[in-house]
Amino acid sequence: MPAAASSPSSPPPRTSALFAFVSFGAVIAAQTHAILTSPAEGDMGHLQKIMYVHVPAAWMTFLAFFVVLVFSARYLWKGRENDDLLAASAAEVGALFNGLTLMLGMIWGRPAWGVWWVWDARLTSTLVLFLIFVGYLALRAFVDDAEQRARWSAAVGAIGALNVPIVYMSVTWWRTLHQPPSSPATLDPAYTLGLRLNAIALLLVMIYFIRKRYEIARLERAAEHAAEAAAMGGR
Amino acid sequence: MIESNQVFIIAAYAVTWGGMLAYLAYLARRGGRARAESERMAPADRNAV
Repeated sequence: MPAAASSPSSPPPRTSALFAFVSFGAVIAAQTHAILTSPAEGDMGHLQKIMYVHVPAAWMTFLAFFVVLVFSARYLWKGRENDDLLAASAAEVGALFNGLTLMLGMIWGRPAWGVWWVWDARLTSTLVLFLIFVGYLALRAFVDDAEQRARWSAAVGAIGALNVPIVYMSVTWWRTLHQPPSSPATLDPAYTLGLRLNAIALLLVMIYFIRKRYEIARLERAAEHAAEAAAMGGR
Repeated sequence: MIESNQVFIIAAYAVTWGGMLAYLAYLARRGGRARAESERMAPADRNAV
């Protein structure tokens, strides 16, 4: 039997609001800096500025699904309910960033490639990743038994996260229209600071989202436990 | 006049902010509901004990 979630102790509302303010403020500052200071790129011109949102969103997707992998594996090992709730919170936030990555890629692809979508390895594997985690969230919504839900979603989450290295390596393993991975190591130095700042800012937002979602999941689970206890008492 | 490429840049930033703010609103709504439910269940929990 899995260990029940300990009683939820959320951070004080003021701390949470301050973290949100700092995170979103950092995104505004990083985006403003990138838009105002990065020069037009040789081939793409100012279209390059989409990189500052598309690439960090893709990195946050990978990172969030890595969190899913770690906590899903830990749930399967130790059976702690909090690990399941944290994995589920990261999965939801990862799906958000995955969806954003796909949409931003399409917005970039239309003017750069002349098409919104092409079934190449990078785009297709990113879509498959997104669908796996939409399935993960649907599974959680439809399974009522908490223990079964946690076990099944831990298995799906861990297997789904294993798709991340395939997405990352897809541009190397197959011939794709998508360019090789963008990173500070492969970029012109004029763009590296902007990319780093935007990645850090989005990381703060991702941490805020996962923390907040986890806090809500624990409250919901505590209410579920209370309802179960009340039903048992009323028998 | 806005160049055609600028439309895509504006769209990309609008989608990013739209997505983040929509999720923030969803968290606020779901959090409020969860807190209300948890407060409603608390007396029942105590009674059960």
